[in-house]
Amino acid sequence: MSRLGLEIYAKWRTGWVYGTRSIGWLPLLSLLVSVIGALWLAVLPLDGQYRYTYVSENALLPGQAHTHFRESEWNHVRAYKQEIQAIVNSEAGGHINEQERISHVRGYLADIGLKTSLHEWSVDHFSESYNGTNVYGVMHAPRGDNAEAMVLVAPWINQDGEHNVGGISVLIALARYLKRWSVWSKNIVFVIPSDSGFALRSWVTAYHTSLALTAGAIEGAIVLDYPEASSEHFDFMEVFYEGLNGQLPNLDLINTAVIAASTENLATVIQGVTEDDESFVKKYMPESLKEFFGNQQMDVLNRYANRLKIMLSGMTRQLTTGISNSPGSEAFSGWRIDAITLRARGTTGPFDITTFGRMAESTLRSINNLLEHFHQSFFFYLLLSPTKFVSIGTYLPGAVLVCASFPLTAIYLYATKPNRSTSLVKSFFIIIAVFGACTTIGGVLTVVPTSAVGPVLTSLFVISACLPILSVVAPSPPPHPASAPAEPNVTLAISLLLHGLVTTALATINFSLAMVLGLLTVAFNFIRPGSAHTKSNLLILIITCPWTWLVAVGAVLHTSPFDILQMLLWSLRGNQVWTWQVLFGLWLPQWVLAVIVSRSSTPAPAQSTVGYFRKQ
Amino acid sequence: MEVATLACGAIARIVVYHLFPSVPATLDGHVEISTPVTSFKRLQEGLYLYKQGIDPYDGGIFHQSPLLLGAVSAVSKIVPETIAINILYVLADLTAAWALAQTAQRAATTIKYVFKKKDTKEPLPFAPWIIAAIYLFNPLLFLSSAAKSTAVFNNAAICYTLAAATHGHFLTAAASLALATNLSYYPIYLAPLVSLLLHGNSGTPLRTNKAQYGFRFCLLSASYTAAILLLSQAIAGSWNFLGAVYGTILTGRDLTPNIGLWWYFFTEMFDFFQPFFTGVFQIHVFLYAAPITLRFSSFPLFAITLYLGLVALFKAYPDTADVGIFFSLVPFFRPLFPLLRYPIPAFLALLYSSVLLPTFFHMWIYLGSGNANFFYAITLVYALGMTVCISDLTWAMLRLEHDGGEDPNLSQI
Repeated sequence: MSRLGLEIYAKWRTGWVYGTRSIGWLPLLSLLVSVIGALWLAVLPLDGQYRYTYVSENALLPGQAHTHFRESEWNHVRAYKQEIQAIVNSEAGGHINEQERISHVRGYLADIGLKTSLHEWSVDHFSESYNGTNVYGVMHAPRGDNAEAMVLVAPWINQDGEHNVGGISVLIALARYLKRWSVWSKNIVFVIPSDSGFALRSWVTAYHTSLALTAGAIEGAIVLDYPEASSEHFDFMEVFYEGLNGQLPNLDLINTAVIAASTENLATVIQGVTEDDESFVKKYMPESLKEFFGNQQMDVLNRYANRLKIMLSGMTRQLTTGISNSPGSEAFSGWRIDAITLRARGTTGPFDITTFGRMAESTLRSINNLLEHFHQSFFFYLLLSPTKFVSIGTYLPGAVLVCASFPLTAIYLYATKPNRSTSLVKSFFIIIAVFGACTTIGGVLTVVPTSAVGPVLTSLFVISACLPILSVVAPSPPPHPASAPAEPNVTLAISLLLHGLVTTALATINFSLAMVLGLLTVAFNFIRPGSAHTKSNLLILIITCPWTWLVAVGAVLHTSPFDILQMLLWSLRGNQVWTWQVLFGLWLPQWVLAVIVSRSSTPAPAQSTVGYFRKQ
Repeated sequence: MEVATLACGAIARIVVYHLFPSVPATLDGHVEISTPVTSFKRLQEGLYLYKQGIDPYDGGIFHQSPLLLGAVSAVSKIVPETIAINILYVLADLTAAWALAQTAQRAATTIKYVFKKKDTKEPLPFAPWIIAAIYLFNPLLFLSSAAKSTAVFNNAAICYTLAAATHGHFLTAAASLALATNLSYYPIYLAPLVSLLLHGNSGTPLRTNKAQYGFRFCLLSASYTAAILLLSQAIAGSWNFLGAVYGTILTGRDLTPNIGLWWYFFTEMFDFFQPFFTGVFQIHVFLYAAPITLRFSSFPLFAITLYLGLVALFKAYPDTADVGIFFSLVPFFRPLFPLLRYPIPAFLALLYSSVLLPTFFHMWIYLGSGNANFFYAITLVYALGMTVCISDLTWAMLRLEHDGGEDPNLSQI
């Protein structure tokens, strides 16, 4: 079995190796590719590296249809808004309960002439329960075959926990207004879920599994978010597009919404930043340097910094959507449905609430034109502004380079393994045991009551914290004389190879997760067994430890690491986000393996590398 | 040791079949593991139609040999059908592993490697039980068995042929080769090689030369094949199966995606080009048999291994079982491993493609974010890995023949 891999070492011993000197450079190459991979991200927002978005699907004709949801409808919006506000107030005052509120809202949709239904949902875990009731109505297309649908959503509570009064009133007014049109070839489903998170997710799941009232395959979905109850004006529109587990909607859908907005001179914003904002560069750069660069250069730099910020914040959102934030559109992930969330921002601006409705109207008209499911444009992209993006071919090499550093080190470690009798089977056994144990712990934690998670995790934290210290303090176990031990270099090589393999596959599905995980664990490449490397190993074990980063993220977000784990657990239960599994099925076992390897005994580890250059 | 290995393999399979009954159905949905000509779901469909007295080959779904229908029907007269099927699958795997162990026993004594280098310790061939274990627990083959792919029976027939040939059993080798040919057609090209293997392993010195001997073997295999075809006709009740089984294998007209090179080409192709390119692709599978047979006539087992690799690479419906049997035979040639030039690139290409294939298929079919090009791109990477493996093995053997592995300029990456 051991012959299956490399034979370089044997050949080096026989002294007729050609080209093996390059092996010594592999760790450096590994470091180099991971650094290039990380820097790759910084290159993407440079002028000339990104592309401008374009509409790929001709059928969409974005912004071409005349939209008529104008002042004449404003009165209806205003009326619904008053009603909704009244319901919100009386529910807050305890005058009506949830059931009455829901029957009111359902009544509005039913009065318009839609078929309506309720969907009761709950996400339970022992005594804890998130639950509520969603209201939805179906408008059958006058000229459709009843096989396809579009969905318009306005959650009762939006992603920030505010009452989405504006969004719901626009939704109901739009229902009333769109019903009068005869252009629809796809059914329209109007949904008012009780919140933008689990409620909507449960509805989407139920729509495809158990609901009696359905309207066919959903081609696209728009979530409306207009929480400012006091004002009927807004300044600009924000678009949220990230899905669960790193999924993204087709870029054409975002393009359509952005173009619809631009035809009305309505500015679109993603990630809360625009290219012309004052970036950290402008804010913190000393005046003398600013003068050195000059206004024009500073402007270029500023725009670059903002694009970088938008890209990184997009990656962060891709990583956290469904875990710590749920704008609503992410609920459609995994069902081949492209969805975006539109949010009205500001209270003063030149645009009124009907403009917001027109955005939905225009986008729906475009989706209505589709003859095929969204497929033309990109599904893998990083947006740098609403009209600038980098596609997968440009950004993926970054993650792949980072992930490629692992097999490079693995090859090096295997090639330079000390030539003594060792057991490959034992290495495999250690790896399987560690992976099995960590995955089991992760799995068990998902099914035990929340109260039990805390103690288990605390003990895990403590044990984990002790592991690196143990690796320093405790003496290395003496090699067992009877049988060949597992070679730590080989164990590390296999685990790194595995790590590179899984993160590469992950990079194609969830780029942000793979990139972040790859960068946080890239230091695994520099673990070396043996007491000569104790200090560096300890440092590496600390900076690659999942708990370290949980605590760090907790500190940034002002929460405890336990809360973050709880969020991960609930996102797994309610949203089927598998970041939890990645944490316990990949990161933690790899780290434990690194700990095991770093404290394994190995004779004179320096010899295996330095001696390599010695020509016999 | 061998008995214990076989028992472990049997237990592992029985555990999967009986404790995790949903596993076969799930794996059957993976295009890397089951193809239109090996899918268990399609076999069940065929069985159902057959039991109802409807011609199973009428619907364009079922493309597997009538022998399978006959075997399952026969055994299910004694035990319930699900158990009958499980018994057949386990028996087939055990037969194959046992046959490979027998082959390994003979091969270790008969294959002569001439190493000239004195200081290279020639790696010993693997023990027979290890060869059996490699077959039974090779992840590729285990997945096929767990998915109840009918390629399992084809592999068993091929392995049995090898065992019979290395032990000099002329009639048995011809019969099992005919059986393999009836199950999947391509083993027919192995007939000359099997006859060479027989010729070299017949216990007593033969009076006939290789050509005459080979001709007699081919003739006998052909008659067995014809007899089995007649038996198939008797089972199926009509000759419709010829088109449904061998027609599909030869024309590749079911374009369900798989790890092979055919489906993407033929989905893209204009209809009027199809007959021509079908010919071109089929010639590819056939073409390499002749040079391999001629060049490696003194290493027939090695030639068979190479050819099985080429079949896995070029046939219209390759799956993990075809790749798996190739990689189960490669360990026979352990002494060659130090002479390989590109073991790491090939290993990494195959490893990465084996993970990325299901990932990209998932993205294409279930998430809807990737598309066919993603999946096909990775099948090309896989094909590249296989090509490197096969050509590297060929090179290693040629080098050994040429100078006994003495070249000081060799470097392995």
